[in-house]
Amino acid sequence: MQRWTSKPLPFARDPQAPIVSAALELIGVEQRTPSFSAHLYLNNTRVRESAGVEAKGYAGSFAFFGHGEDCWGDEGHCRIPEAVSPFDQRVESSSQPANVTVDISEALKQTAERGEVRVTILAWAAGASNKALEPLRFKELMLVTYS
Amino acid sequence: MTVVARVQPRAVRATLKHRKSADKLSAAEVERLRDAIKAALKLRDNRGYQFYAGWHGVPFDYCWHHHPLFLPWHRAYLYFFELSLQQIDAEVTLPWWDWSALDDVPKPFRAGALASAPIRPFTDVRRPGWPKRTFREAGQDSRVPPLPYRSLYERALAAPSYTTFNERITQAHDWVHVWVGGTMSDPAWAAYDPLFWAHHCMVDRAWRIWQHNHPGALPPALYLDQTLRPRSITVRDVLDVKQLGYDYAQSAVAVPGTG
Repeated sequence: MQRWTSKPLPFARDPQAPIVSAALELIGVEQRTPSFSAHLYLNNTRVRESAGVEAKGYAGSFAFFGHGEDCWGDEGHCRIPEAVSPFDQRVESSSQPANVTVDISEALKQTAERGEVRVTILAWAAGASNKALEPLRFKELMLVTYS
Repeated sequence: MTVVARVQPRAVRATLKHRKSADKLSAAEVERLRDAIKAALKLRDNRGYQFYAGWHGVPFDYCWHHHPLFLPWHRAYLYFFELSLQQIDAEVTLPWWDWSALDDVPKPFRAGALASAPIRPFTDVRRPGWPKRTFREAGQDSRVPPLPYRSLYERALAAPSYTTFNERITQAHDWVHVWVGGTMSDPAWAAYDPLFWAHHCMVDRAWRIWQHNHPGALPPALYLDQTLRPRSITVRDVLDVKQLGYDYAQSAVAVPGTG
């Protein structure tokens, strides 16, 4: 199991334009990772692994069909290739990092009075032999609110 | 001097083939599908099961996920694989697994050739630990929500744009792969499992229904003329399933006409 907690993400609260929906966007999720499932919690940094979806601050979950960590090819096979020249028209790599969006509208409303959230993500790699792996790698977490 | 005139091929009215729900297939339809898969497994050349299964992960890695090409690439993939089965039995179509309604793997895929298949990749590379057969651990991970995934499916269908639909149906798709577990949870081996095709028919069917409800909604223009490897077919070519010769039907029956 993998645990990750974000720095505080502030968000504006405007009584004239209340938040109607909100999402967390994981940007640049590494695809060369085992498949996994993940739970997201708001302002519950100590949430236990077994807490599940009933725990305080539960905001949503997602699964990720990852391309696996072990590269079967020869050296360099799974490296994301750079264009070798301006004339390189080969298609981009399908291993480029991806983005994942999780709707947290309801959960954010519950914590709205605080004006900021810390996000804790618990992630579990799929498959019995992958239990010790930390499958989630990403570049940035963005909180987006809509009024 | 010899002049060669190219004539336009004559338009032919063709009857669409219907993909059906896997749990609604008749016993005879299940048997035909099983027989076609078995025959495809016996073919060891580039008409056979192992060749097509290898497009997705090991050894060819042609698939796209978490990307605007996810839906068109898999539609083309199903199309070419289904044609390869129809080369064996012209009446066979790929069924869909309605994981928005069923709480388990469809019954036909729990026994015999549709339950598990050998893995013999089209490469001379062999790594220690590679699976020799597909296997599943369906529903065994307590952290993965149980089927059916009705709300994920409905949320996807309610998407207002292609990009949002693609993201949302990808989410449902990823959950199903992880729920099935085993080789289905690994893109390297997933397409070797016969259940893979039924899962992706469901995803493709969802796109078909979404398209029906959003006429004219297209993938980003940047991708419309992109070819879907390894064939030369483009995204634009796969937008209309009827141009690919199939549709999804709850049922399809026919009676003789006047003759």
